[in-house]
Amino acid sequence: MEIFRKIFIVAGMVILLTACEKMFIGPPKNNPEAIFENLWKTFDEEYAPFDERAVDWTAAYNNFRPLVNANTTEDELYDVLSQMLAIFDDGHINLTTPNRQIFYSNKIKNELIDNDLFNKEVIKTYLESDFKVGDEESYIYGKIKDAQVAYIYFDYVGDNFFVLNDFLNQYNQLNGLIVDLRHNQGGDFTYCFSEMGRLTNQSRYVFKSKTKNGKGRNDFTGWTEWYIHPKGEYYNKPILILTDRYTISAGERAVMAFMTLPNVTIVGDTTNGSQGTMIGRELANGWYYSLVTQKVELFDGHSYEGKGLAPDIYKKNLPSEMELGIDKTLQFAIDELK
Amino acid sequence: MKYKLAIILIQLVSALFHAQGQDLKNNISFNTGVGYIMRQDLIFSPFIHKDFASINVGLRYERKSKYYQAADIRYSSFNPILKDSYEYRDNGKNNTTTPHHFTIIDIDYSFGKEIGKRDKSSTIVSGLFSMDIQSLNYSYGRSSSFGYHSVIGLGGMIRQEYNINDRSKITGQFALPLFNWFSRSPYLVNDDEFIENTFSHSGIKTFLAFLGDGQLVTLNKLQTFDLSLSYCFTLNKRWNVGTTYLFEFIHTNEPQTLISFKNSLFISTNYKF
Repeated sequence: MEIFRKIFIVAGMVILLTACEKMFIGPPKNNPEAIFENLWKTFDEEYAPFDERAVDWTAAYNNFRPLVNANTTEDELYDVLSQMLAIFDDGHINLTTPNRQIFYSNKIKNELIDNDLFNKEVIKTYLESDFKVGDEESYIYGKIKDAQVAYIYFDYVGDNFFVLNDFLNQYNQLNGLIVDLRHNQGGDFTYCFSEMGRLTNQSRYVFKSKTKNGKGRNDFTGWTEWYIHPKGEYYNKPILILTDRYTISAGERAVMAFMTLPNVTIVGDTTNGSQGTMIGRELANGWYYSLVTQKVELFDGHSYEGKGLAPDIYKKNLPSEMELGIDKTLQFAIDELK
Repeated sequence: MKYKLAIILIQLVSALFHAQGQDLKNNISFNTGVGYIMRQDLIFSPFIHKDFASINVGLRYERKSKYYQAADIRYSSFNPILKDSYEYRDNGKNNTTTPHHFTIIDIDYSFGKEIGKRDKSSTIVSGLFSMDIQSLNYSYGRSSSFGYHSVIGLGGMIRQEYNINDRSKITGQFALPLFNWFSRSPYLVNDDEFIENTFSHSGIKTFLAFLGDGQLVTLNKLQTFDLSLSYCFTLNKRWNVGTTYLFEFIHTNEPQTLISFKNSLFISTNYKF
């Protein structure tokens, strides 16, 4: 009798375990056609700003799907997928594959266009020698040489913004600030919003956003409005924000927040134009990609996804100037605040 | 969570003093062993993530007196990856892809009574309070996403013990949370509500905000249960050793399908007092 009980228990366990696998929803298969279909369908169901970027995704399917068949090689598949993703020209879309450079959908990021027009080593030459640098240059701040101007650079938007209060305390007697968001990689915009309370004396509406919550093109959450609120001792001196084509994502949302302030002037080049939140995804062959699930509208009621935020004063460095150690954009901002 | 842990500790200490000079009614056991997860969470990926646990440990307190009480805390972590890690380049820098990382903490407390006793077996039924907290870090090459899954539930547990002989015992147990406060990442990993919850930049406040975004669900929206089978061998009056197989199941379609099977095989060391 006892032996039957044991057999019953073991058999029950085996049945339980083998039944488990069958409960899962069949995952996408690992072959070129299935991988293509999986990526295309995921974008179709999850990507938010099709309209803003004027992408006809069905047409893309019709153009690229015939290029993939069961015999498509890995290199060929990579070429097809990257060409298809290039249609978006979206700084938030990338494709990561083994032993290759990451493919960025955004032409500027992928081809590193004008990437050399920003150089932190050049910037340091403009600062007095006691400037401060965060871990891995997450921030750089100090006083500009021979000018009553304070400068701060943020590499991304994150906990490096906690330094903003110390920066304001240290330099609140100077004429004004330069906040350099050029080449800002983005991150989590809430760090900027929570830390810039000293820069406003009233609550200011910045933008609203909504996120995909279903597979249909119009399946979105409701809009959420985002504000900055006053907190701490008000700082009311001129602020110049520097931007360039590599100011992206949360970096752009930070620019949006600064744009609400009356004492702010934006100087530089138009931002990247990739503002919605980004998520990662994986493919059956182990490749990774990312896409955007959110629509964002600035306080003026317009979306700048795919367009970027234009500066108040357009300035763009030249390679020849950079080689001579001249950051024309920064120099202009310094002169404005002198 | 701290409050619940404090209660468990107080109960443990009071039970310790109460037991002195009497029958050994309390049992505390440390469990460690292998764990294997199979998890498909469509919020983050259409694929089934499988991995053996890098850490899989548990601590259990049990008291058998007029009433039956048991408290469990288990911790496990997993690092599944769909394909092997590989190198890629990002603007001239070499990087390596990394696995996802799941951290799972379970806390259960049951309070009940023995309802049937025969020569070699006994049956215990009890009420159940359970917590299942999961922190999920999905890695997608250059980018990553944080996710969470939390179930705080009330339900029932049934436990059947069978004495094979004077020194050996097997125990089967089935625990079923019925009414749950269920919190989980939004439909596509994050949304404005998720971002608002992180605005404090405080781990505790964010955790509480995530919990606050949950909903009360029953079996119609969340199906989860634990099933275990244990073997215990008595070494002497105070010490036992044993092994436990534990199967943990989760299924929901809110806001997207999650199916999770976790299998553990623990080696246990038990101390009676």
